[in-house]
Amino acid sequence: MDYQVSARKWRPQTFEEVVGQVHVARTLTNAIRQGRIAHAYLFSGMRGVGKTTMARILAKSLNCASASNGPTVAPCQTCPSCLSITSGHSPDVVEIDGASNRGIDEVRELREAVKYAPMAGKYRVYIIDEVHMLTKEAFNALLKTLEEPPSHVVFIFATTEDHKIPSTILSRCQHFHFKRITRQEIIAQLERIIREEGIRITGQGLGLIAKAADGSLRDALSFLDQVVAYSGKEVNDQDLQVILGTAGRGPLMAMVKAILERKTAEALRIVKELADEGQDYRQFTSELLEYIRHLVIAKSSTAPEELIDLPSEEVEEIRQLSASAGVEELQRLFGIFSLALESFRGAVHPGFVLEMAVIRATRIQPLESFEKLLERFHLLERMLGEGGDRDLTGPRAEVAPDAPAVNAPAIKTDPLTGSATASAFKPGPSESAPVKAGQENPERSAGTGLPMEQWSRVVKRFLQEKPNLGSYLEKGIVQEWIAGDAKDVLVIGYDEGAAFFAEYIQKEESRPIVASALREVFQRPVELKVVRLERSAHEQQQLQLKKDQQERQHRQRIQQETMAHPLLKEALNILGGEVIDIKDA
Amino acid sequence: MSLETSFEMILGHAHPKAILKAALASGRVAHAYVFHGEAHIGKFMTAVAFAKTGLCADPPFDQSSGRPAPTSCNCCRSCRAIDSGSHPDIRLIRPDGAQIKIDQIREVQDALSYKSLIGTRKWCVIDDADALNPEAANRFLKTLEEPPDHSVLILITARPQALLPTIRSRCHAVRFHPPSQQDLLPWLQKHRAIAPTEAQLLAALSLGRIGIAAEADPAVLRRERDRVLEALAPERLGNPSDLFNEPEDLAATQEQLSKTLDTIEIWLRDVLIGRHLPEPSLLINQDIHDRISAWSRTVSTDQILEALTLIHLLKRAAPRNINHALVLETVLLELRDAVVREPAPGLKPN
Repeated sequence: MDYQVSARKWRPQTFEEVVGQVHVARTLTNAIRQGRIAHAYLFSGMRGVGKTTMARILAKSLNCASASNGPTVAPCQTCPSCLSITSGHSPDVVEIDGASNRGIDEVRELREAVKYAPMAGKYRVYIIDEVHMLTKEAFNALLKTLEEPPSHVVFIFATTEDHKIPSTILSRCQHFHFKRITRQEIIAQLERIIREEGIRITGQGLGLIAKAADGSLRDALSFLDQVVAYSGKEVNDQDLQVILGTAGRGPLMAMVKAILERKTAEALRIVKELADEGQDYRQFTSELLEYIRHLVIAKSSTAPEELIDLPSEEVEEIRQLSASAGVEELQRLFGIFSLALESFRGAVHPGFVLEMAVIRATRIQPLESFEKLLERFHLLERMLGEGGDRDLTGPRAEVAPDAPAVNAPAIKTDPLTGSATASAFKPGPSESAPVKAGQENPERSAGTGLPMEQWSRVVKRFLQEKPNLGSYLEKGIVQEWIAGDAKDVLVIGYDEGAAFFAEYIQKEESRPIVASALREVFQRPVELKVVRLERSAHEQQQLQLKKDQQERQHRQRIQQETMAHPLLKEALNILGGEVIDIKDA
Repeated sequence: MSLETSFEMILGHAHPKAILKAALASGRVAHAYVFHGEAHIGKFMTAVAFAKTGLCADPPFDQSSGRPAPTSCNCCRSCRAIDSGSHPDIRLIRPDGAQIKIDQIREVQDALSYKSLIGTRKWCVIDDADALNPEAANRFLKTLEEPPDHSVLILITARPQALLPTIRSRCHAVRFHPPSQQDLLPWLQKHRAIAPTEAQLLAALSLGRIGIAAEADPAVLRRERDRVLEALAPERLGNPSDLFNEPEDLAATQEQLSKTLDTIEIWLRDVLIGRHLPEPSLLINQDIHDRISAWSRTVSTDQILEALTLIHLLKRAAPRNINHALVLETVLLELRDAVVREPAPGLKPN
């Protein structure tokens, strides 16, 4: 007898033997017991999960000669009918390759043939494999027969692509979907077979086969055959890795480590070693992707063992490795290598794709987590709120020379705010006007003796930056200026009706903002005191007048200063214009 | 066509050969194989050698195992028939035009249904199996699963992922890798009458594709490469009138363009590798490693990675109907940004 591959040799012959499709086997056996045999079945599912096998077992059950009354769930395997089906020569079980007999003519022949009664058994069973390859016409020609076939006929269709089956066919069949076979089920079946055949493979080796089989038992058995053909009945894990082309976890871990430690040369040497050992770059890349996925899971899950299908010591290894990487970083690595996986197609050499991906991966900057960034941002905000003197802008010194020269002087010559850019507030245009240069604090002594000028500047600034706080401050009236050694005190009064505003300004969150603004404008610490004013209507009027007068004085002074400015004079000279209005911006 | 080959004559491929020999020695030859790996590296010849060994009527006897050794005698009737390409028990299928069509598969199925004439098994080698059209591939499924007794089918492909998963699942997959430069060099020196430096160049530039290394003229390969690299010279890239005046034949046809892009890709790869690894043995363009290191010093890694990404993108778009010259210019412009520091001057009047 010619050597047979395991997938054929170990093809299950009874419903119980079929691996991983209990839902189908049970439905079919119950149907047989109750004598409710449908006249058309459709078996769909991915490659190598037992569709054709199940179809043959069903055919056997229907025709087993040793069963006294009708179909049996346990075909005897010894009667002529069972034997002829196993060997593929039964006159009553017709196995048709749908891909080779896909035309309407073949279906016409089939329609003629189904009329004849079975020769030996009770049923004529037509198994049409790869049924998705029938042409549209062929499917349509089959419809009538499929709806009402002679009572002795059972159709079994098998396909990997049920979406290609017309819905008119689907509705006439009992449709069974075959599941992927789990790794555990594959391992259990492999164990059974190697025990029978006297083959020795480690448990880890079986795990590797099951993983590579990716849900298909035929693939698993095919790998088993290959490795036995390669190394005989004693299989070691190295031989398995050669056959499966998997790198094993050594190189994977080394690669991940090299990447996380940004050791480009090291990582490139690992790629070189892969080539020397005849590893498949594409497969290595997809294994690397899976490994990165494990790392992410290990970082984000509290119980990674449940989600990572690996022995617990490897999970522990992964967990340790994952400690040195951030989730964001791993996500980016995942992105780089998934892209690489796509680039293999059309690359001049697959090794180059991996090399480039590795270089890219070792170059990503470690990302800080969003939480950390947010924390730093808040810290920065707080520091700015306390006053802009702290050096938060280290790198600025380097950047400044490169900054465009056009706007720089306006900011730099500002005498009041100094390094204006570090402040939370932009310098208002009035401060940055060159007119003010050299006048340190002339207003404090001028006029009423109260710092009206600075106060109005503070208010204006708030009106621009924080309008609501600004409008509240505006309601206040400057009462008193107490100069002190450590700090000055500015007393602001609020009228009876404006009590709400006074309260708001004294709130915990407003105070530091106001304080820092004051400090900046006055160039020294100033405490703001808020008092409540109790006055008669007359006094109120007086006060308002006084306030208006202060305002007028302020405007006059600005006008004088502006008119005296040499630049303006020069402009008037050259252009011959006249000044109509001066606006305080 | 001459198919003179044997396991011993095949360069490299230690793993595949070991797998196939072990299968022959243990009598566990599967009924279907997929040989996959890059094009032109010796998959087809290995398949023929496999069949030849399997069919050999008088294999040398292996004293240690007490059984025939898995090698071919190369002088029996069967071996000579294979060498001359006239063995009746081997069938070779190649794409008919762009595809392998259903009629060709029908022919295979017919041929396999007869008994073998000289040998013990019937062999069928299908080259470029990814060219199977859907009808042919599906028709082949049943045969691949349960072929007539004593038949072996070998599918050969450079694009295994283009095969139906149902086909792959029915075959034993054997992976082939390009032989390394170190393996290729002595072979070239032995089999081709060329100077050592030329052999070195050929071994490197062919990227292990022995089918190319065995036939290509090293002088032509070098000239073609240098012409592409000339277009990458900084002084050319920096001057727009030169940049847009790239030699027309670099992108005249789809084939030319993809060759040119391959050369650029290998060059950029060398520049990056040269920057990160000190040993020059890993470079492809070893003969001009001084130029490589000159680039390595000036161009940033990120810029090269950018350019490579662009090349991959364009390569994927290239089979569609796009302007070849435009593709090349896009790549050159990207490289100009990487190489030339100064902003490009305006078009100079001639």
